[in-house]
Amino acid sequence: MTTTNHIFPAGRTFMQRKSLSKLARREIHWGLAFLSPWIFGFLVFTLIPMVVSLIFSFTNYNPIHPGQTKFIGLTNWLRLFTDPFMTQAWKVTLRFALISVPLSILFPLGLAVLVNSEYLFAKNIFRTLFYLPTMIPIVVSVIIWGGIMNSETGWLNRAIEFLLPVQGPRWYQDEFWVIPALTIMGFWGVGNAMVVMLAGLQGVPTELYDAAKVDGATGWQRFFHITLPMISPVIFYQLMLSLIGSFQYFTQAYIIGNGRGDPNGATLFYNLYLYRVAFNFLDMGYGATLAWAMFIIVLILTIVLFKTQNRWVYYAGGE
Amino acid sequence: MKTQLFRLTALLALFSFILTACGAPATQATEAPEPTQPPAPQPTTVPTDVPRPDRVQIYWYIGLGTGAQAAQIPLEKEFVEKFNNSQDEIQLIPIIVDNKYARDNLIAQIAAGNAPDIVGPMGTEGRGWFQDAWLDLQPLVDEFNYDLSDIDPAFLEFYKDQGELVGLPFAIFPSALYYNKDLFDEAGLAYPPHKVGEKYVLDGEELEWNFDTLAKVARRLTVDANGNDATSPDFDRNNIVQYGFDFQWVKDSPRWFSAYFEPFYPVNENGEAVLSDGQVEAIKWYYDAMWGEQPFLPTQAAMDTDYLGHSNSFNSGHVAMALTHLWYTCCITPPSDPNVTVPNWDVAVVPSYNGKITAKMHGDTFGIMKTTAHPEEAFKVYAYMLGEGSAELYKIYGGLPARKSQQADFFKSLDEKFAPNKVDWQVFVDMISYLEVPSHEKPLPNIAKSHDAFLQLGSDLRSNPNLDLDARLAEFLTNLTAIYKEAQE
Amino acid sequence: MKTQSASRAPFTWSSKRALRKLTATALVTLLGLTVLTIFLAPLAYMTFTSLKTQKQIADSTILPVSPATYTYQGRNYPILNVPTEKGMQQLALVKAGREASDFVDPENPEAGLIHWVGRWRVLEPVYVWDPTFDNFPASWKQINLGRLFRNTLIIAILGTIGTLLSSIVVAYGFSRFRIPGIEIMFIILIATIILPRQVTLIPTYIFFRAIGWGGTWWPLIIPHFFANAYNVFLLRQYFRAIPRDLDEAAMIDGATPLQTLLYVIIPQSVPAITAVGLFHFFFAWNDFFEPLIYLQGREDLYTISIGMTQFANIFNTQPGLATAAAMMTIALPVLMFFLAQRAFMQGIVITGVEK
Repeated sequence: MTTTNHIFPAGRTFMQRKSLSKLARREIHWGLAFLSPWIFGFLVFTLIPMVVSLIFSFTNYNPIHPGQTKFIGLTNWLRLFTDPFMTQAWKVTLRFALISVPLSILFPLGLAVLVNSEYLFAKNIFRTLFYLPTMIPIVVSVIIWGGIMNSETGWLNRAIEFLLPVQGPRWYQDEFWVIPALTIMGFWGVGNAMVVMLAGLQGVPTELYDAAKVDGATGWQRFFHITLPMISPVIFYQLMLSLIGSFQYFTQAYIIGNGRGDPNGATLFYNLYLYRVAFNFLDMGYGATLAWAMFIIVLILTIVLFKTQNRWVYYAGGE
Repeated sequence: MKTQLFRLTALLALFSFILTACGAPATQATEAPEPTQPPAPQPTTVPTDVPRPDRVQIYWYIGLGTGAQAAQIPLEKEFVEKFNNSQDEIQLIPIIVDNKYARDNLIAQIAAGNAPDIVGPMGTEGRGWFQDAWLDLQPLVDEFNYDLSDIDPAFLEFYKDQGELVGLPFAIFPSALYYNKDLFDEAGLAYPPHKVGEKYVLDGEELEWNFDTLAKVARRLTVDANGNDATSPDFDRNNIVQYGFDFQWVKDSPRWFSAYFEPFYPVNENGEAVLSDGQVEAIKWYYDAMWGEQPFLPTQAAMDTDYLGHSNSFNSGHVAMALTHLWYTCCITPPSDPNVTVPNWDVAVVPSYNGKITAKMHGDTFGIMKTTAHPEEAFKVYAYMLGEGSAELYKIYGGLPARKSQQADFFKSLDEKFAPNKVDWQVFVDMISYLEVPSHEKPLPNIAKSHDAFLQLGSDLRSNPNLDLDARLAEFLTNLTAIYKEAQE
Repeated sequence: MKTQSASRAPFTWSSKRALRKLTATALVTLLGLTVLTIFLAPLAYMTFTSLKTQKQIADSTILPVSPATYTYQGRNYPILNVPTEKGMQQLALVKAGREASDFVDPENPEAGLIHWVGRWRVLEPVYVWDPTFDNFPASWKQINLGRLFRNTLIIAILGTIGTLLSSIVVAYGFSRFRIPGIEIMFIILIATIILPRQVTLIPTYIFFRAIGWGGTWWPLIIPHFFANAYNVFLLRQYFRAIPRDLDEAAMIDGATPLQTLLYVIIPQSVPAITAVGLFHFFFAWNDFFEPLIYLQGREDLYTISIGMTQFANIFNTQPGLATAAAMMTIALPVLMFFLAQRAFMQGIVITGVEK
């Protein structure tokens, strides 16, 4: 990561100039004391479990028969490449990511621009209302969307069939349409992304716009040449979160796919499959392997993303 | 800054207000409570499922079979309360889980080390999912001198697993065809036969009461918004407002509904997956009923609508006939309820296939889990459920008592529930002799995964209009064989 | 929130410009309303469904309406609009038939049954507005919503307290102290954001079970007392923006770093702290996965998210109850968000998440 320098600029820290070693030690002691909750938590809830999980991935651990646990070498890891469900889980997750990640940036960005518009009346009410569905438990929103997306009587298909001379898709029953259906449902939870984008928009210095106006730039030009570059770090942040999010996708798929990936495996997301392996088939060794594989993939993706950020992410602070 | 502080104070005030409103002392929020040991308030206000320190807790897991339907839950809670008030040693706590998730949930619970004590009602299938998890009841029967003398020993054999008595006979649930009289009247059709062997008269023609005839009648009873039935050339399949037939809650797994055509155990002597011709035909009949030229059975999308009651389709009043078990009486709204949707209904015999009637049977009962910390207390509850409390449970679950002497009372209680509608209960009694052998619930190898494969096939049939059935079934059998073999390794 | 337009647009009062601005406002607001209407349509569905009886739900009208009925010889019959030779009449359908039906005229029941040839299914029923509020008390009782609220609130509040205490302290440590290796530690902290919790899930689950915390709230509360990356990051950004002169002044007055934190940093950071608190509160309110795993089988300890799931699954045949319960469960967070919206937004804006 290249961020080190701008995270720790050479500024003044506590008593830095009084270079007495006693004071420096005192600072270290105080600092460590303040950091200790995180250090402890990291060791107990992250590092040790990670290591244990890695060890599990080489065993056949089953919590009902812990006595029969034994090391089985690379069996679980090799299984990753032959497991037909794994292929399915991959396909589903990637399809979802390809469709929903771009939209999960565009849609909240559009909303943020809208609720940031100087011409919008009663902005605060709009912001609250657009944020509102984010506070609805996912389970509840799945029930509600069941009424909207039902292919026979749902509001969405009623609207489609009213406006267009076609039969609406069989959203939840169709292997092709179920992923778009989940994506549309996902629009409802964009509140946090919208707020973050809004913060980005408000952080753009107004002088830049004023200068551009003087130069005669149109609204679109201002948006593409000032706003977008200035908020590209926020977009980057959001991109990373949604990418990770598609690997973690669970609840909606669990409920709509009956916990099994219905229709016909089309909602068998990676994380759902992991849950089934670990908690339904109780094959926790293989479950740990799936989790570690997920971590490795996400790590690689993140590194790739960070490598590309120099090309398109603009940090106003400069480096 | 001031306004923010004000808002925070307002929020805190709001919390404490809500906490008070919810019946918890307001101080509890700030003084870290002990979540594992909630305070024991006055007995009169305790909801039954907060563990009480002065009693032994027995957890009762409901949902593997019938029992998790909205209409049953208040009655189950009432039953539990009655039991808890009848003695002061045991606290019975129900855990009610939707049937769809009941198996997965119970697995997770067992893995988490907090398995329930009593599970049920459940069928052989449900019990088979957790083989080796059930307590042998014989030692407890001996210890408590539990009277088994009036139960046919052959019947007891039915509840034995590898020589261990893992359940005692509770109730049986024969099948019959439920039909909505008003919809038959509207169509001007004769009611289906109530006696085995009776013919059905359609357009002046006498027909044998088999699945072909049923399909013919069902098509007449399937109507679109313009009032055309499924046999009409103008029929609009995208606008069906009434369906002719449904397998009510017995179609998630094709193994279930195909048993009405032909009972068959889908494993051959080499441990491979097979289906009999009759079962393949049942699956094709079922698929054609949804996606064929003249559909009469609701698809998955239709089932999920408010209009068809989210799978409680017969009770929505928009389905004319439903083949299912006696337990379905749980979920037909009685005429005394202002929301009654099907005021006039009755039951008829199960149609035949190849001249043979198969009325598949459920023989549900309860089991005690091996892991229970209190086997004796659990057995006391068990004995109450099957003895003193049984009449109430028969009513809740619509289960025909195993003992003949109790059957008349049971039907009387159902008659009271559905008055003034009269139902010909004798049909169910007649159907008992047509139960299927082998049972459609006989456990399969590698049950968790093989059952999943069946469920997935079922979901595919209900959801996918473009299936090449022969290819899909071949693929299914290949997968299923692989799943069976996995268990043998 | 202060609009930036005020400072941006030069305030020259010309009626043409005012008119243009008015038009723009009207257009943008109209666009906003359209998007909002579509966006919130599912909420309308939820509201209407919660106001319907089971019978109205089976009728599947959009609004909570009932067909008007007429009581004839002790039974209720629906009233339909029937085209007759006397024009459109509102008649009660007594005996339905496929191609011909018998009606009775509520205005003139003595005339007896009117035989009408035609299909009753194509006739338009007469609807009356008929919402019910029974679903609210009924579901409140069924689901034991009071208890779910209490459980979720306790978990959410304790977790929020824990995460605030620990994240503030840790963020302060990361923003003000020179310790060897702190850069590495900070990078590790940020890296945990991308760590899928599934990796630690199984061992953590086994660990909590082994120390007897299975079926209790502790696994949902205690880990939050050890800070988490998002919150530390957010708070640290905010703390760093506070001028150091302030702490140094406090130090010169003899304050310990802890006192500096309490009396200098925290009072300056209320918006950021509010934002972090609310983020966590909403997270805990909606968390599904962990309660699902840890509270399995302990119905008395359930939180709203799993209680609602269980309820919605079991009562899926009665959507009126499920939606009524859902409306009640979101009331509190919505109210909270509305009250705290300003501090919340400000906290995020000033923190500058992009850095």
